[in-house]
Formats: sequence, structure tokens, C-alpha cells
Amino acid sequence: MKLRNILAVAALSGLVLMSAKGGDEEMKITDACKRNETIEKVKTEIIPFRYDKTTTTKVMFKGYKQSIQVAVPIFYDSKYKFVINTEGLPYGVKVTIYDKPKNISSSKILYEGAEGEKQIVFELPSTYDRTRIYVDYDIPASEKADTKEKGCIVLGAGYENI
Amino acid sequence: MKLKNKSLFLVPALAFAVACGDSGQDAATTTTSADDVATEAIESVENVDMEDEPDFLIPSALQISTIFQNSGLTYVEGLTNDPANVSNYVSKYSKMLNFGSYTADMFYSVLNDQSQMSIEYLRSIRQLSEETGMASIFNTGPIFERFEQNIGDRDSVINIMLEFQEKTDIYIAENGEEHNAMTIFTGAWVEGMFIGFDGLQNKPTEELKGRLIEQMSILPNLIKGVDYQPNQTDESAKLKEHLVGIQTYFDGIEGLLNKEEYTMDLSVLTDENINELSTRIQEARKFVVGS
Repeated sequence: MKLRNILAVAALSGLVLMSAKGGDEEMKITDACKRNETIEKVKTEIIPFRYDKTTTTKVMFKGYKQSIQVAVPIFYDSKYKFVINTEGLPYGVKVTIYDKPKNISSSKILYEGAEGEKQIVFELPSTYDRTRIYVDYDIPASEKADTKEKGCIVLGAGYENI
Repeated sequence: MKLKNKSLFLVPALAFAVACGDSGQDAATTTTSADDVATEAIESVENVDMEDEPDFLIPSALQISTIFQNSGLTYVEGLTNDPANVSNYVSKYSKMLNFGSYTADMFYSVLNDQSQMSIEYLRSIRQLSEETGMASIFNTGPIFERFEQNIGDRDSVINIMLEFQEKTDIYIAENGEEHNAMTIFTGAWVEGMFIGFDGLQNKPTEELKGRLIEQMSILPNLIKGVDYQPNQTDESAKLKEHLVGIQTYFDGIEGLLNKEEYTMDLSVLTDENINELSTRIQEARKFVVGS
């Protein structure tokens, strides 16, 4: 009986030690974001519209699918051109643009990109009658359990009214 | 008159510009310990309530200035914040807010061909950038010198301003300071609206009125931006009070809000409404610039 207890304690200690060792193991991180290079590509594509600004969405891949949405304010009478570049991601994503948040039942799709499309160009007519568009990114799950995978999406905006 | 934008869906968008927190120069591979992962996991849990809300793309102050300009807003001497006030701003928060207010004033001056004032505003902005740890915006290229050299060439100056705006955005993104981007934009927005409402009072046009009311759609995001400041202070609380006061009054105008959507029907706005909005914006502006 005593021996059994000693063996049990020893086995438990071993498990604890193994767990502690596992906790110290390093996890690899990869970051596919190439912000400056991507911004230059986006700015080139904005022409002949007046380049206004870009915004970069940081993506941290997880073991499950994610959805990230960006609300973009729209001012009336302006004709907009949006360029969305996803080259800074290790996996292809799907970009969909809505007139309202996508979880609203009455939301309409303004643009639907193909999965994995690297650079999307979308022009919004000046007749658009709402104050926002919603750019939705469908992010796939990471395929690597031992790696934290990061990346970024660059959204550039240009308009015509200067 | 009704705006073409008949409605604004009132989803409370997260009032941060979405931006990369890392350098983003090149694709990179690094390693981290399990402890680092654990820390990030805790941060994720803390932020979980924000995940369902869309991020918000901060519009450019230059675009807003341009919209007002194209709506007939004319230059009024002495209306803008005195560039010499730059030394009055002590806290980092007030410096950030007035980085924004001076940016709006600079755009207003440039678009109205006020060369000397434009240079003075850029000088004040540069000083504030140095005092808030953002000197690299000006140090990565001779923005100030090129601005001075090209001051008579409006198109070149606008391109330099866009470059300045981009460098500011990149600095913010690389340093994970999105909350500061929102503070800067709030300062610019308040100053821009102050100038716009002053123009409306002096020379009322339906076009300018429409453009000013349109800008109100951004206000809920600015208020959320104050909430997401990592360091809440008396200053940020006071600013929020001003912004909420404007929003509450605006939402209370009969006929303007229908269920969750603004009708954006300008015909429901009385002179009294415009005067009250103008007064509230003046008060917010007084708080921001200090005079």
C-alpha cells in the first residue's frame, strides 16, 4: 500500500515536470505582413482617384474561422474607390462588402470577392445613399498548431471630389 | 431638403482605426514562449466584448475640410486656433487633441490659400509631434521643408499633406497607438465642425447645412473612441461630456431619428436647432483649444 502511494506520487511528479517543460517550449511566430510594400501597391491602384488614406487590419490566425468587419464612413456626393490587398496573409481570405453589418437581415451585398483574391478593387458610385459600407473579411482557420500565424490586410480609399 | 443619405444605421462601431501593431516592413518569423502566448490569451479575453463590433475606419480630416470647402465655406480670418497657443498645451491628451485641431486649421488654411498661416500651423503640429513622441513623422523626410518650398503650388501642398497624413497613420499603426489616432481625429473634427458651423451662421446654405449634419454620423464613433482610451482622465471625461451633450441634443431633434435610423431630413431642423448645435460645438471646441 505504501509502495503504491510512493509510485503514484512519483508518476504525478513526472507529469507535472513534463507539463512544466512543455510550457517552456518556444512557439514559432510567422508574420506575413508587408505593410509598406502593400500600401504602395494599393496607392498605385487608387489612381486616377485622389488617394486619401489606408488602414491596416492586423490578423491573428486561430484554430477556427474568424470574421472581421470594418465600417467605412461614406460622405454623399463623393465617388469612392477602395482597394483591398490581402497579400500580407498566409492564407486566402474572402472579402465581401455590405451596405449594413452582415448580421442585419436586411443587409445587401455590394461586392463579393472570390476566396483567395489578392487585390480587390471596388468603386462606390456617388449615388450610394447610406453613410457606411461594411467590409467583411472571412478569415480561415490556421493549419499549423505549433505556429502563431499573423498577417495583415490593407484597405485603401480614394475619392474624386478634390 | 433631404440629404441623399436618408439613413444612418446606428451600429456602435468600434472607434479605432484598424491598424497593424507591428513593424510590417517585411514578412518575419520569430519565436515566443508559452508565457507570451498566455499573456496574449488573457488580453484576448479582456477584449472579447469588442469582437462583435465592426472596426471603424477613421476618415481623413483633409477630405472633410475639402467637403466643407466645396460646399461654399469661405475663409474667416482669426477664426482658427492661434498657432502660438501650442505652448499652452501641457498634458499629452491636450497635445494630441490639438495636433488634430491644428491639422484641421492647416487644411482650412491651405484650401483657402493662406500660405503663411499654413506654415505656422505645420510648425505647431511639428512641435506637438516632438512633444508627444511622434517626431519621426517629420524626421523620416523633409516634409516641413518641402511644404515651405511648395507653398504656392496648391496641388503639391495637398500631396505633401496627404503624405503627412500617411506618415502619421503609419506611425500610429507601427506603434499600436490607435487610441491616439482617434484623439487626434476628434480634435480635428471638433475644430472642423466649429469652422463649419461658424460659416453656416454667417452665410447659411442648405448645402453646407447638409454637409455639417452628415458629419454628425461620425460622432457616436468619436464618443466610443474616448471610452477606449487606455488612460481615462478628467480631461477625457470632460471631452466625452461635451460630445455626448452634442449627440444627445442631436438625437432629440424631433423627426430626425426614427427607430434606429436617422432620417437625415434637413427640413425638420429649425434655426433654434442649428443655433443650439452650434453653441454646443463652440463649447466643445473651447474645451479642446482652451480659448
